[in-house]
Amino acid sequence: MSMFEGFLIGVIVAASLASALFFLKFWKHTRDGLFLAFSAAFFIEGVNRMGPLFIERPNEGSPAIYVVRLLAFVLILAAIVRKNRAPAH
Amino acid sequence: MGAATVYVLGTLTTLLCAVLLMRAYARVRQRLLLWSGICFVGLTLSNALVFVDLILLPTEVSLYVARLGTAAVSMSLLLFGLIWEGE
Amino acid sequence: MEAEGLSEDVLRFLLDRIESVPHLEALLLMWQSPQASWTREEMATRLYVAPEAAAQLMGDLARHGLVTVGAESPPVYRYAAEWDEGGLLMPKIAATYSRQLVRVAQLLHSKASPGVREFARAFQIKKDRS
Repeated sequence: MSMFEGFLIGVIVAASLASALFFLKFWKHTRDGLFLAFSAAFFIEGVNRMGPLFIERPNEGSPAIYVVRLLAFVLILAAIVRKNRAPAH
Repeated sequence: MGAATVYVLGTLTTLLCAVLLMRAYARVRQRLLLWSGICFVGLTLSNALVFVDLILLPTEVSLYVARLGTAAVSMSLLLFGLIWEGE
Repeated sequence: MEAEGLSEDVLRFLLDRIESVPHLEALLLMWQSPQASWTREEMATRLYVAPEAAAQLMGDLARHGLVTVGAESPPVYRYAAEWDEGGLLMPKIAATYSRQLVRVAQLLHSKASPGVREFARAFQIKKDRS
């Protein structure tokens, strides 16, 4: 992995974790589960993005990494579905 | 096949978020919606590049920097929006 | 978020369904005259806001099931009493607001900014705004 690739990963991880914190704050203020889902998703992704730092061919990733990413997205999808099924919120 | 499904689903999810956010921005012109919308557009592009890179293109060609770059720019824009427009 | 001293049901209501102090005042106004209907201009005059802001307030309250929007043109707004079973919660809210004005105002002001609210609203695919 080149230094530049490592740098980009660092930017992604830092921005994801910081965004997760913002969404956590929004959840605290609004009690809207959507923000909790976004917070969890970006937190998971932030940690997940560090995975390539430890594997042989980071540009290919690994199935585990992409499954974890999918989990993060599913959290968001589930929250959107839930928001549109509940009566008034 | 399983991997391709994961990449496509990820792309569709971010695409859905992008569409909803941009649609809302067009309606109410709230700046946070613009920045987060752009972020998800970028993440959609990044996810699509993963699919293209790992499924469609030969192993000699690597879009890794492009994938990382689009994701890094997207997340930076989101963070900017959250800080600048969040309160 | 100052929440001590407010009873649980009032607190929940304010957190879930009231976006700001003007929203609460509009609702209380309408609750006091449950048979009356208002156009957005009438509501704007009573609340000392612009008609567009009044329409926005009414839309928000309607979305939470607190107000009905009539099909007439121009649209009229009425208090929707059905949401409050037995009519028990509204008097409690009104009493809380009059006795603990500062605390209620602080609670509502500490809620999320418009940007955050609109972000959440963006993901409501079924829109029923007036």
